[in-house]
Amino acid sequence: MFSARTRSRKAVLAVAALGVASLGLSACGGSSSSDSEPVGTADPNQDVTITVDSFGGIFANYEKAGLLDQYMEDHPNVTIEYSEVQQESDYWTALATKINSGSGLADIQPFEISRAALVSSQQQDVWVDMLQTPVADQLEEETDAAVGAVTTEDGAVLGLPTDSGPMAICYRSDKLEEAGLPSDPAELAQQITDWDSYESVGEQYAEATGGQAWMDSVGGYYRVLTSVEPVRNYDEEGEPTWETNDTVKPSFDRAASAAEKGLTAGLSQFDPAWNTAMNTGDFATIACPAWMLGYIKQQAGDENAGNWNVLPLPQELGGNWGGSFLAVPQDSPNREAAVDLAAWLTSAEAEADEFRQGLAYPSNTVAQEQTTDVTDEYFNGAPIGEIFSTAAQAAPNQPLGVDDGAIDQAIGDALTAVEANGVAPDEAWQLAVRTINDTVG
Amino acid sequence: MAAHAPTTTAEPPAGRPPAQAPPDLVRRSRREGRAYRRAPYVYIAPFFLLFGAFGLFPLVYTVWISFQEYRLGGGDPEFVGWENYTWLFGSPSFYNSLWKTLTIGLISTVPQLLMALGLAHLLNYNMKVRAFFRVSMIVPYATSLVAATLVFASIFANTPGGLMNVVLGMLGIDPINWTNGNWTAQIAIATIVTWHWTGYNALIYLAGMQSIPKDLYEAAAIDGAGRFRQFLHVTIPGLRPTILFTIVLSTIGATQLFTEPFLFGNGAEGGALGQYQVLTLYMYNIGFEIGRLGRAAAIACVTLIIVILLVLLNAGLAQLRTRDKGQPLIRRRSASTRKASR
Repeated sequence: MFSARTRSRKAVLAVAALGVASLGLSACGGSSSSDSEPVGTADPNQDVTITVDSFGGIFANYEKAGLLDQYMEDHPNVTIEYSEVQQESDYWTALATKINSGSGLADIQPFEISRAALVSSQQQDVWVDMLQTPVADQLEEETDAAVGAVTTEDGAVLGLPTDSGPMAICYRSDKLEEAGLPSDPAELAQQITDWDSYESVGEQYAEATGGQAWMDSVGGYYRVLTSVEPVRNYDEEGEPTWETNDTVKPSFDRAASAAEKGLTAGLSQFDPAWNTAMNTGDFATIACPAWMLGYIKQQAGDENAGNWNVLPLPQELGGNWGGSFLAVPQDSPNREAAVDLAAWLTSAEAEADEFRQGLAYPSNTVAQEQTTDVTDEYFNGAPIGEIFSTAAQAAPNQPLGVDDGAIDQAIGDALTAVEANGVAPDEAWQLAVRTINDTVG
Repeated sequence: MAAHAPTTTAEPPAGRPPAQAPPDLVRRSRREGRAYRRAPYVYIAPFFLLFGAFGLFPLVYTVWISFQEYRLGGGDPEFVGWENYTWLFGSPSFYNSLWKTLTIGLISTVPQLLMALGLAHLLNYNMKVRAFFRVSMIVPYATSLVAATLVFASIFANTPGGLMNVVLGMLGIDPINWTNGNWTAQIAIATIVTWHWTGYNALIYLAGMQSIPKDLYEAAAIDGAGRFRQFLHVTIPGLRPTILFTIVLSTIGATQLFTEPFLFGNGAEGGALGQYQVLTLYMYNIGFEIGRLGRAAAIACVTLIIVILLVLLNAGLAQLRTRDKGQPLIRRRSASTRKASR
C-alpha cells in the first residue's frame, strides 16, 4: 500500500522530469551552429547517393531535359534520388520545420527567391557558403540581383541560382483578332505603349466582346507593375518602405482601378478556375514571367497551340518574378558531391540546354546570351529568347525583405476585396495597412 | 528468510527456487506480490509513454514557445514574456476569427444535431431494410474529408457553371459568388461539416435511444401519445446524457475546424476579408504562412483555454437542466400514465 503510493508519486515525478528534459533538449536543438568550413572537391571514385528534396518541377524539369541522366553517365559513382512536391508553400513549411528541428534535410534543398531574404538573414549556419567551394567562379556568371538575394551580411552566398522569371505579357492572339484588335505583337506594341494604353486597349477589347475580361487577375497585374520598379516593399537598407514609397501604393491604385473598371477576370492565380480559364480563353492577357509559358502550355493544352503570343513589356521595361536557388546543407555527409551536382545543373551549358527544350529560363547570364535565338512554336513562334534576355537585362535589382511574403499576401487580399467584394480601393488599402502592421509589426 | 536458522542444507543457488524451502516461499510470494502490485503500472505504461511523447510534451512545449519570439525556418527562440499574448489580444484578425468560429460553429452544429436527432428517431422504428438505412448513415463519415471538401468546393464554385449555381438558376436565382460572400462562404463550409457529421451523430443517438426501456414507449402509446409526442416526452429526456455528449464533441469539433475552410479557400487566409478565417486557420496562417511560431503558439494556448471553458459551460448548463427538469419529467409522465390507465 505504502510502497504503491510512493511509486505512483515517483511515476508522476518521472513523467514531469521527462517533460522538462525533453523541453530542455529541444531548446538546445535549435541552436546547433557549425562553423562554415570550406568544401573540398568531390571524390570521383567513391560511390555516393545524392538525395534531393524539391518543389515546383525544378528537378522534374532537369530529368525531362535529360540532365540528371547525363550527369550520372558522366559520374558513374553518383546516384541521384529526388522527390518533389508541387506547391512551394507546402515545401517551405516542411523545409523550415526540418531546419527548426535540426534534422531530416536532403543533400540538395532548393528554395524560392521570395524566401531568400529570410534564408540569408537567419539561416547562415544551415547552408554551405558557395564561395567556399571549388565552384565559386561560376557565381560570376550570375546576375547581381540573383547573387545579392542570397548573400548574407558576412558576404557568404548560400545558394546557386537555377532560373529566373523575366517579365513579358502573354496574350490570346485569336481572341484579340475576334475583337478586331491587332494580333501581331509588333502591331499590338504600337497600340500598347504604356500602362495607360494597355488598359485602354483592354477597354476596347471589353467593349468589342461584350464585357469579357482583359487581364487574368488583379494580383498578376499588381505583380508586373511592381516588378519593374527599383524598389518594392523594402529599401536598400532593408527597412520596410512599402507604406510610403513610389512603388506599392501607386501600383495598388492602378491595379485596383483596373479591377473597378472590370478589366480583370476575378480569378485567383493558381486556382483551379484560373487554370481552366487559360484553356477556355476567359481572359485575353496575362503577366507572363518566363516560367509562365510552360504553365500556360500545360493548362491551355495542345488544342490552343498557336492561339497564344508573347508581347514585351511597354517602354522597354523589365522585371523579374521568381527564380530559385539550389542550396546544400552544411551538415550533409555528401556535400562535396552535392555542391558539384548543383553547380553543374546551374552551369551555363545545362541552363541553356534546359531552355532550348522549352523548360526553365536561365539565370546564368552566359546562358541568357547563348539562347537569344530561341523561339516558341506554341506561342506563334514568338522570339522568347530575345524578349526575355532583353527583359532580364532591364530588370531592376530590387532589395528583398524578410516579410515580403506577408506584405504581398495582405495587399493581394486587399486587391481581391476590391475586385470581388466591391470594397472601395481606399478602404481596401487601409485594411491592408492594418493587416500588415498587425502581422509584421 | 530471517526467521530460519541455518541447520542442514546449504543455500540453493540464487535464482533457482528449491522445492520446499519456507524462506524462499516467503520470498517468492513477496516477489510475486511486488510484481502483482507493479503489473497495472506496466500495463498502462505504453499509453502514458506515448501520451508523454505525443500529448504532454507538445502541450508543454507549445506553452513554452508561446512566450518566445520564434520564426519558422530561422533563428533561435528568444524569450519575450507576454508579448505574443498582448499582440494577440490587440489583433483585429483574432477577434474576427473568434467570431467566425462561433458563427460557423453555430450554423453547422445546431442544424446538424437537430437533423441527427430526427433521423435517429426515424431509424429507431421497425421498418424494412432497416440495416441498410442505418449503415448508409455512416457513409459520409467514412468518406475522406479532403475528397469530400474538394467535391463540395466545386459544387459551390463561383462560376455560373457550379452545380449549386445551376440549381439556383433553375429556381430563377442569380449565380452566387460563394467563396467571396461573407455568409455564403460560411454556409457552404457549414454544409460540408453538416454533411460529414450528421450520420455519425445520428448513430450515437440511435444507440442512446435503444437503451431507453421499451415499456416507456408502450406506456406512452397506451396513454395515447403519438410518435411526435413520444419523441418529445420520452426520447428526448431519455437521451439527455447522449445529447450532452454530442454537444460537447461538436463544440470541440467546431473550435478545431480546419480541413474544410482550409481546402475550401486554398490557403489559410480564409477569404480576402477573412470571411471564413476560423481560429485554427488564423493559427496556421500566422505560424506557417507568415512564419511566426511564437504567436501561433499563443493562439493555440488561447484556443485550448476557450475549448476548456466551452466544455465546462456545456457541462454546467446540462447539469442545471437535468437537475431542474430531466428526472422528474419522466417520473411525472409515468405517474400520469398510471393515473390515466386506471
